[in-house]
Amino acid sequence: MPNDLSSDLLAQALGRTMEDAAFVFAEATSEPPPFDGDVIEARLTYAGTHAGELLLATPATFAATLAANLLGEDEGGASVTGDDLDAVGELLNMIAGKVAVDLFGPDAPCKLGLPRVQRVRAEQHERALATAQAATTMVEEEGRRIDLSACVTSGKVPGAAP
Amino acid sequence: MSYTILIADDSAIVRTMVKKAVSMAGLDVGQVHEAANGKEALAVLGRTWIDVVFADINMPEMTGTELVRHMKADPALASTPVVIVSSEQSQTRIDELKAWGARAYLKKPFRPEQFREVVENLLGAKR
Repeated sequence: MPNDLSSDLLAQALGRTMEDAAFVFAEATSEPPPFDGDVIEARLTYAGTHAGELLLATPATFAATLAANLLGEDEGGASVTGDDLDAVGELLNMIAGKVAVDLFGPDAPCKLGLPRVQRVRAEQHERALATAQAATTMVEEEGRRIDLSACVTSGKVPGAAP
Repeated sequence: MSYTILIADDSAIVRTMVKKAVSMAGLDVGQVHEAANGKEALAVLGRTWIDVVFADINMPEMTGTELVRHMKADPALASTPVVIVSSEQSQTRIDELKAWGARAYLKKPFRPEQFREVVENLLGAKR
């Protein structure tokens, strides 16, 4: 069944994926701590009954942990390639699969793009986050912040007032 | 005799995740080949016998969907099973891929035992 684009929908997809894929347990917060240093941003487009872009952001210092967790290894383990940006992109890919089904329903067609990942300054990320139609911020057990936001690029914003 | 597998995904970390999952599943895997897109996968398939292909859908150059269609149209590759490993969860998409020739579908994030179940279903129990 289709749902409106909301911060709750994003929080559910982010929380479940972080837990299932990266063994990271995080809770939504309304008072996000500031990013301490640069941010890794992954972006991915989606197109169903409306089109948009999802943005996942984590502290740059957290990306190596995410890469190791995806592989079930300690940081610096034998299989960890050092391509930590790839891990953030892949997590967004998994999140996008869940978001698409939650937004449009399991039977509706939805095309997902390829993740694009870059390292940005915290201020640049905060500016991007301010323009989102829906966003959620979660904090994991060690206090590191993870943002997921969505920008609608064409079509009506689901759940918006007429 | 062990299985020879091909993993096609543009993400290096996912290729490593699949390799680890296959190994943890206790499957008797010999050679593991890797490709970053459908075109590279076809090149590997053209020169090496592959028992099963694990392919993502969204890849640059040539997608997993195009790879499945190319393989189906090639008599030498038509019977090589392709398992799609993807984040996409739309049932419509899964049904489409199966109609075009994909033999099974695993959703990311996956568990090692899912690989064992799929490979044994497609190729029979451990050779």
